[in-house]
This record gives sequence, structure tokens and C-alpha cells, in this order.
Amino acid sequence: MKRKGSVLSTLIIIIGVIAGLALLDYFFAFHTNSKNLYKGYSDSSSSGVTDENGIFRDDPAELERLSKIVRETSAKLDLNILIFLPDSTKKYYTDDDVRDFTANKYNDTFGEFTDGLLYYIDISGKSPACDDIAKSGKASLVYTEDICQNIFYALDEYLPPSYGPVYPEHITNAVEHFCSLLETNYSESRASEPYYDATANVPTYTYYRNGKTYITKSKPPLRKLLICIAAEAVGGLTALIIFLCTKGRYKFKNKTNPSIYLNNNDVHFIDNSDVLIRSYVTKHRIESSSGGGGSRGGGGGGGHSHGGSISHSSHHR
Amino acid sequence: MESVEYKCPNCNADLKFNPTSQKLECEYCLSAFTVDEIKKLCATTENSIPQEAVQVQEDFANHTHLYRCKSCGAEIMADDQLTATFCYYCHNPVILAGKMGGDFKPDKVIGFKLTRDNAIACFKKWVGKRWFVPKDFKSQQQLEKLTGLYVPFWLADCHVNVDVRAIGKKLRHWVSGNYSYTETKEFRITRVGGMLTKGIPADGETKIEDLLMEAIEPYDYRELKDFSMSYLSGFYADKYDVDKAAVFPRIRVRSNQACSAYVRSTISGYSSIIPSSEQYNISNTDWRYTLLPVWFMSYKYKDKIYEFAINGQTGKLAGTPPLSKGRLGLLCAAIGAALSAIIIVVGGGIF
Repeated sequence: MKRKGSVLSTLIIIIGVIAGLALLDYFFAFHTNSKNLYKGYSDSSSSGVTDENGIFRDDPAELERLSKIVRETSAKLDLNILIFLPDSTKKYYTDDDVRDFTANKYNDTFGEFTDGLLYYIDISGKSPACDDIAKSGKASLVYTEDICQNIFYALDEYLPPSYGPVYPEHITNAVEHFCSLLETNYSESRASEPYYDATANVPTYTYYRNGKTYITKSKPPLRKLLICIAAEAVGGLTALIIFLCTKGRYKFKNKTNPSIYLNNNDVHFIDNSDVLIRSYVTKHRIESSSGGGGSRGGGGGGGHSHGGSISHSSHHR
Repeated sequence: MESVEYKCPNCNADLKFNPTSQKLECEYCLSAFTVDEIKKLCATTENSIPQEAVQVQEDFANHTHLYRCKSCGAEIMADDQLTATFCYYCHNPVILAGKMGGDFKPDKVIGFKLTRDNAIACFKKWVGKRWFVPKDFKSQQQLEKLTGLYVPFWLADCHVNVDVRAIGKKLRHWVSGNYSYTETKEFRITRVGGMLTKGIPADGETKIEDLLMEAIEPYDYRELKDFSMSYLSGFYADKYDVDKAAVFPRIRVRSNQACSAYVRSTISGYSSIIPSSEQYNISNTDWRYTLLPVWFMSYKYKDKIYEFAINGQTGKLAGTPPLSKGRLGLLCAAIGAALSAIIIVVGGGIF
């Protein structure tokens, strides 16, 4: 009866501790968030195509037509969109320079923490060319790295090789298909994973919660909750191991070996023999194992993201 | 017609004839003897008690007081110069129950060599390494409960007939050409003979944990002396409440373990050993009722008695330390919480 009561009280304490920790976790996860920096999308007026290269110098109407397509897509998707055509001064940019440039250009044009993207079509003459998409806000969640890579591969068909001449129709085709691909790949429900931008001036997390977009310096609540639970599991397990190890030291351990009560002088064998009764030899053929030739696969390269951008260097075949 | 009753040579209980096995069997210690064996053994038994031994028994009876604890039932002996006031085991008051009977006079005794101060120093050293014992376990009040106690032991010299047979295999491997060869040699191993395990002790006392008493062994029997009342002076002695027959199974197990370990030590050099028969039969046991010195302390914590004992001759100590689970739990919880907090802060779980 007493033992039953003790078990019950232990159970109540354990349940109480778990409930307390759950409340604490909830508080840490959902009520210690930093400020939401998200600014969203205002209008499509700043969206369009920036022709720094001057490829449409002789056909401003075409440039305006493309900008209009871009603005329409921008309005449809509630995303700022800028397509940037660099001049030859950026020919010597490294890939990192390109990424920094696109990220800064986006921020200068639309502002930080807004929804949108900037597509940098590298027609500066750099070889190999380095295209890049800088994303911000909702666009970071919708256009994941995989989707951006798919877009790059799809647009390779319309863009000229790095070493060849670039004609306005190349850009026209690329811009039209880019806008089309943005629309077809747009899906808000896809963006369940938070996006972490480590290269921003202040690293931020972008995520959806209850239908709203958040950009915060702190981790998303669910991630914080997971960290709390994992930390408590590690702490609890450590505490349990220490408890059990220490408890084990509080057990009775000594035992005297009874062999001390038998002296050699008190042993008298009348038969103490080891008699060989049989002997035999067995033999086995040794199997020779011929090792099969192995192959070593070469590692493939992979794309990588940098800042809020996805770059692509393999187009312009 | 005169009926003949044979006593078990191992535990002194009555032997009964079993028609099935055609042997005289002891239902207490489960020993079995053929009629010839028992007749041979009984022929050498000394039945008479020397006159001087009778005198010593009377002396013991006249000068030994028996105290009884009403709380736990422990029976404590003390000489007539010492008045027992509390029970060494449960620390409740004891009452004088009368004189001891001469039958309880021990044959042998080993006197205390460890003083009370030595015993306290041993205890402090032992308990000092244990941080999570309850605080009052280390208190002066608790140390005062350390009692010099002569514990009744049955010392048994067991004559063991050993018959061990096994098959041992020796393997030798070599390679020649494309073949691997294994030579197996089988040996018939035989170990037959007699062994004498001397002085295996078993405490004749139900209060104190048997394992605790085994843990503070061994005693140096070279210092065994014939019992004299003078050894009791200043100490208490426990009265045995377990007789030879009751302790014999424990003795037999330990004797067999000793013999078995010895036999195994004589069988070596084999890749594998397959035992075919292993028999250790105790044919005869010589008993000595002995008082051995123990510094004893008990501690009641959360309805459980924790016992601690020091060999009063060698200083070897043993015991189960009580664990304050609350104190240990708090420390573990603090460590766990600190670790969790570090992980949460470093992992960015809060900010």
C-alpha cells in the first residue's frame, strides 16, 4: 500500500514536471520572438526590366513591352520582379560579386524584407556566365533552390552561349519564359520549410505561420520548440544516467571468495589424470576469393545558394 | 529391543532410512550416507564430555546475562559486569531476560583487535566518499551506535569427496597448400579424491544479513582461542538462533564453490572442456561454535534497515550505504536543467 502510494506520488511528480516543461517550452517558442521585419508587397510600379547593357537601345518599345509583361506577372503574383541585364563593366565580377550585387540591387530597388526577386541575366561577356536570382520575403519560400535550378535549366534553351553574341530576341524569349515559369511554379502551400538567409546584414528567418509571412532574426517558433524539446531530452537523459550510475554505487557489492578456505595441502587426489583417448585431423580446402573490380564514382558538382539568391553558371551552352 | 538413532555427521539432525535409495538421509541438510559409511563415522565419534568442559559450561551459565529486545526480538549476551541498555540492531531498549544456558557457550573466540576509535575512523573514511547519504547517517549520534559485538558463527571443516570427469579438447591448426588442417586431440580428464575446506564460517544469527557477514571475511583463525568470559568484557555478544542444520546448506554451497574452483584451476591447456560429471559430496563436517568480533551499526532510513559492519580483527568493512534519492535527484535535475539551458541558448531556442 505504501509502495503503491510512493509510485503514485512519483508518477504525479513526473507528470507535473512534464506539464511544467511543456508550458515553459510553449512560452519560449511562441512568446519570445523578435520583431517581424516583414514589409510585404506594395505595387508593381518598380518592377520591370533594367537594361544596363543597352541591348534594347535601338528598340525601346520592345523593352517597354517586356517590362509590362514583368509588371503584369508582378501584380498577379504579388511579388516585386526585376530583370537585370548587366553591361560589360560586370564582366570581371566573380560569382560571389554577382550574388552580392543582385542582393544589394534588389534591396536598393524594392527595400529589404519585401516580397520579390531579381533575375540577373549575365550578358556582361563574362565566361562562363553567371546568372542569379536574388529572392526576398515570400519569394524565398515559394521559389526554393530546386525550383530556381529548374528555371535556370529551362531558360538555358533560350539564352546564347557565354562566348557567343547576344541578340535582343534571346532576352525577349528568356524574359517571357521566365515570367511564365514564375507563374507556373507559384504555390504558397509549398513553402512549409523556413528559409534562413545567413548572408544578409542581419541573418534572418523567413517563414509562414497562420497564413502570415514572418521575417525575424529569431528562429521560427516550431524550430525553437524542437530545440527546447531536444535540449530537455538531452538534459533529462543526462540526469537519468547520472542518477542511475550514482545509485549503482550505493549497492552492496563485497563478497568473499570461498576458495580461501581450501589449502593445497588439504587436497588429495587419488586419480588426477588427463588421458589421450583419440586424435584426428580434418582438412578444408581454402576457398580463393577473387575480388571484383570496384568502381569509384566521380563527385559531381552542385549548385549552391548564397544570400537570398540562386546562381547558375552552366547556361549559355 | 533397543532402537538405534543415527545423527547426521554434517548437521547433527536425525537421519532417516530411505528404502528407495537404501541410504540414511538427512531431511535438513539433504546429506545421504550408506549404512556402512555411517557406522564407520559413528565409531569414531566421541560421545562423552570431559569433566573440565562441564565446569566451563557452568561458569558460562552463571556469569552471562541474556537481554532481549522487545521490539525486534534480538537476544544479546553480556557478562554480568556489563549492563546492556539498547539493542545493537534496532536501538530500542532491551530488558534482562535471565541467565544464559550452558549449551550456548561458544567453543572458540577471536578477541577484538580494532578499537572503537579505529572502527570510527574506518567508517568515516568509507562514508566520506559517499556524498548522497542522509546527513544524520554521518552524525555523531549515529557514530555512537557503533557497537562492538561478538557475532556467533558456525565454523565448518567439510570433508568433501570430489569426482569430476570431463572431456578436454586441444586444437592445432596449420595450412599446407590449398588446405587448412585442424588436429583435434581429445583427453579424458579425471579428478577424483578428497578435499578439506577448513573453517568456512556461517553466522548463526538471523538479524544480521548473511552477505554482510560474508563480506567482512576472512578472519585469521590462527588467533582463535578457547572461549573465556574475559573476552566478553566491554562488548556484547549475540546469541545464536540458527543451528548447524540450518546453516549447512550455505556452508555446502561455499564449500562446493571452493572445491569446484580448485578443480577448474587444475584443468588447463584445453581449447574446450565438456564436463560429463561433477560431484562434490560432503562426507563429514566438523563444527566449531565460535564468537567472532564485529563492529556493527544499523541505520533505519525510510522504513529500511541499512547495516554496516567492520571486521573487528582485520578492519575490513562492508555495508550498504543509504541513498538520499531526494538530494541525488536534485543534483541530477540541476545538472540536466543547466545542460538543457546551455543547449537552448546556444541552439537559439530562446532568442
